[in-house]
Amino acid sequence: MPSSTGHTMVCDETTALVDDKVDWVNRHVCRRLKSGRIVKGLSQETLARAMGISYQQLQRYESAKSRLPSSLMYRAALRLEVPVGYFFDDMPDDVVAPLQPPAKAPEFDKPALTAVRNIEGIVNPETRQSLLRLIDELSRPADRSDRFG
Amino acid sequence: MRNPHDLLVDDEGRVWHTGSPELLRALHIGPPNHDLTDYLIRNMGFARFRLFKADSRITFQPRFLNEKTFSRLVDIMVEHEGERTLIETVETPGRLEIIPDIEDAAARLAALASDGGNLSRPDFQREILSLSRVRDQPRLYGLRGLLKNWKSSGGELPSEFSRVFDKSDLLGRTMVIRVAEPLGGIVEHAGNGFTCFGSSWSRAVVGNDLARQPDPQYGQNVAASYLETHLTGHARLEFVEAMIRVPGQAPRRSRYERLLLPWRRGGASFVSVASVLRTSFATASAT
Repeated sequence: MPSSTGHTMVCDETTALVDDKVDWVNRHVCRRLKSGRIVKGLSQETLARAMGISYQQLQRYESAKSRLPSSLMYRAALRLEVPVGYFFDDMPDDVVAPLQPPAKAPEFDKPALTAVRNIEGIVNPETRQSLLRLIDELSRPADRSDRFG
Repeated sequence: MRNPHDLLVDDEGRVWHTGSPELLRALHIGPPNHDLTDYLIRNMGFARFRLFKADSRITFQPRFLNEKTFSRLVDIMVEHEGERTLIETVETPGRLEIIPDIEDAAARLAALASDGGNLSRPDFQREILSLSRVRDQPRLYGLRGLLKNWKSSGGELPSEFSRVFDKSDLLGRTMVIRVAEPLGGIVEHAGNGFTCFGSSWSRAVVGNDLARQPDPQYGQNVAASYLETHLTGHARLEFVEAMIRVPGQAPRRSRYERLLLPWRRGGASFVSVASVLRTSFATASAT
């Protein structure tokens, strides 16, 4: 499953990275703006002209000090010859996840969890093994019981 | 413990932790008994990115670097922008090129990959930059005195060139051209900081036609800006990336900024050029 190191998407292991003070989406978009420009070999002036802003303003966007408005994103996409979605590509899971509706946490059966804890508390190993066998026997469906029976 | 910033970018632009089990699984192999990373870089077009405090180190095989891998590398470089980038190719392991700016580092990767590889890069490009960079960008501070001098003199060239152009902060990378009608120029002054043309070039070129450079194509390309500066009468800051081919030497790809200023004296027109070198590397293939 893709995850991140810093904010690079990596094809292995998950690294949680959530900081409420940072707008990670804007930061990601701004980094993509900068890397897209560098890959194309454009100066800040050339891209800034195409976006209708000064190169100093572009510097502020590239360093994520300002939020990149959608109209400028659109103009940048035209000049970089990429779809607007390019700026959101490879968004790490830990950036996207907080924007998704929170997944319902799995629910466990409280009496069952208590039973497990109690079984672990049985000191005599033979007693514990016998009890586990009994539970196993009782939980076995009828057809399974027949098969192994 | 695994370094979280030791990454491999494959030829599809996917990023992996170097030596991770996931990478081995994706490659359908077990724990390797050889240097797998070296093999992947050397033969399968992977590029390695490592972060050491303020330095990024990239190891790759230039012939195999493709657009996807290059784009992903640039993404990672932007994300982990440090003080400098160290570039190493598998042909010359341990020989590092140290480049302070990530734009220059990315350009160097692309240039290496364009020499018999999968990326293309033009031999010459120039862009007009904002003059305010001379004030804002520390790398260009050396040009500030010259620009100030030009403004305060109203563009009147002093009779003694050395007073203006041999200042130490310009590092000898200055030229003065006397504009000759209709479209030419005669070199009146050349500093000794242009090392790519050889040590005696700066003396030999004075008095010659601007177009007669060791690399005529390069000379023609750069001369266009001199004429434009003369015609507009305005100061201009440019960025240039150029392949320079001097006979008997390995071609060099240089990246630099240059300040062009129009001057006049006694009815004649001049254009001065002062450049600040960013990077200059000999390419692999010599002529």
